[in-house]
Amino acid sequence: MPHKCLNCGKVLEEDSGELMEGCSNCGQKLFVFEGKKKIDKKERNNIVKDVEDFLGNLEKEKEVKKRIEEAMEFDLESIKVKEPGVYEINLRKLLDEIPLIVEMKEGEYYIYLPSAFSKDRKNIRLDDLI
Amino acid sequence: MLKRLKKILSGFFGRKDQIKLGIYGPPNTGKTTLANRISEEFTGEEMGSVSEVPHETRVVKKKEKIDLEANGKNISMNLLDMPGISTKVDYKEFIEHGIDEDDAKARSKEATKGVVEAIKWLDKVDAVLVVFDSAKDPYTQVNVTILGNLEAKDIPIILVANKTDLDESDPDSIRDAFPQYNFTEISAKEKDNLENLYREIVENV
Repeated sequence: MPHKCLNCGKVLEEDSGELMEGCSNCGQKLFVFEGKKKIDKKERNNIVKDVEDFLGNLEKEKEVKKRIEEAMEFDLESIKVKEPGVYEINLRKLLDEIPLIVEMKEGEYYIYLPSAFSKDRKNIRLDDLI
Repeated sequence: MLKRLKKILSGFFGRKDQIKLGIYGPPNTGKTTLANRISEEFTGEEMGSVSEVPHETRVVKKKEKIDLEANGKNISMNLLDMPGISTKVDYKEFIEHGIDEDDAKARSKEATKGVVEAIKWLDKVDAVLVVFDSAKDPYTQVNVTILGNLEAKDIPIILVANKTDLDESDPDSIRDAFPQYNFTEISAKEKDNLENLYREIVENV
């Protein structure tokens, strides 16, 4: 009986499907593996806190990403890949802008960083982009 | 260091660096035909292949050390034939010219890279010929954007109204649309009026 639900403390039967489907008692999917040494309540709370922090950070990252996307201007990209073989080129952006930004599909942008740092702009290679 | 030494030495011997003359314009305006004419006349060799299908030139083609002579003056230059600049490249256009789908898509991708390359080269050229198809409306986004950018960079420009051999050709529409630039009308295909263009180049570049 190696696994225990982190939420309600229910101990799972060996090879229990609950590991995948969630605890049959409370529905949570966070479990802790219990070896021979039993963990005390304090230690369990620490683990819960760690996991919660980790999940919280993930949420924060998502939030930041969302905000960056919202901050992007509508005509950010220099080249839009409408479909393979069909490209729309924003000349004004291309003339003004370094780095080169390519929109591969709706909302998916690729920023070619060497174009931002290279002084020799003619050496830009797009092979890995389009 | 080597570059600097070269510069100092060329200063001593009074040799001027080769002028980089870029040929710019939308696809199918006759840039490569013109580049071939110039190169043929002064070096005996052509520069690139021409085609009815747009975006035939997809990489920058370079011909070094062309000694152009006109009106008793001469300049030494590197001629750069640029891929055509456009705002949209669609493989279906190439399929209409009988190219199969895979090749058309590859051509489309290369043409897009070509546009980027041509634009990056704007930082390197010393002077530019902007080539127009004089049978078409000159007032397009591509032409206006390129000219505006060249002007902002203070790069000498000569407008070349090409294809004057066509019945629908209207070179005056180009002169009227952009009256502030040096202008010449030619037919690169028929080798018409090229002397005037050479004169414009040695006088203004």
